[in-house]
Amino acid sequence: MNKQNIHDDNTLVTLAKNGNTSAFEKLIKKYEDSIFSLAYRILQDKEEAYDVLQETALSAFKNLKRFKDKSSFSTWIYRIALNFALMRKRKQKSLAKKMAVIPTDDETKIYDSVESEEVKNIQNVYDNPLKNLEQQELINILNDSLNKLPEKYRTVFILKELEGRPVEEIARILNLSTSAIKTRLHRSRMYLKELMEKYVTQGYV
Amino acid sequence: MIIKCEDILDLLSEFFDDELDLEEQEFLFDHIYQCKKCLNIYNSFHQMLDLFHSLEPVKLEQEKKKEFHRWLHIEVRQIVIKKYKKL
Repeated sequence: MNKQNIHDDNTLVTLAKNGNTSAFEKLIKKYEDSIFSLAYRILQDKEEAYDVLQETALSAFKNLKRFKDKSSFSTWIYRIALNFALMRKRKQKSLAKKMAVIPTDDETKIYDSVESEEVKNIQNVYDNPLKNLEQQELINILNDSLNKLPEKYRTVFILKELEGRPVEEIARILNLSTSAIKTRLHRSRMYLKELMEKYVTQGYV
Repeated sequence: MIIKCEDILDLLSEFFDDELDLEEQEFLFDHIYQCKKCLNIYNSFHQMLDLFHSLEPVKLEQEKKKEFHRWLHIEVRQIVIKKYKKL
């Protein structure tokens, strides 16, 4: 976030706080892609991510007076979006738990054979990434691995590695110290390395 | 600076967080290229992260974006009108 951007945001926030709805719309339009992207990364569902975008915009408008200039608007709105996305994710997970069916032995065998097919495919990825694997297949594998992470590790990993947010900003969004974020990042990478061990080739240079 | 195998995980973490300066990176990679075990660890992390980085950016489709802008325009004005009516 450069100084000009912050200055523009502050001007728009001041105008919006004084009732200028067009200024507020401008602010939201500036961050709509980042909000949608973050929500989608967490929820893996475009409709739900769109709902988060709407919830975030409404909540930001209703609570704009509470926004203090000491943090940047982007951090503030990102925090709102993240909270809405995480709330939905928790609902998704509890719903999935309720609907989960324990597979029979035969079904487990089928899942195992499908999985080994995926493993075979993904081991070729490094010859030419994504060429040997359907994009959707790869996305599913990565999302499944991400979903296995505890929420606190998944969130920082998404913010850093998928959304490209700097550690300092992640710390501000989550209201944690930078060292806490680094620890979570470290653990998230350790978890994912473990989870994806079978998909990555050993000894490649 | 002497790098020990037991420090590799912490150092790699700092490396992936862009926390190592050029000299420290040089020491790290001098060790990695001489130690097959650490090279494998580095490669596993690198490949795993590469896969995640290869995911395409997610964007709101143009039509959906227009729909959102129309919705936002109406919603914020309605909130303001309701507020004035209460006063």
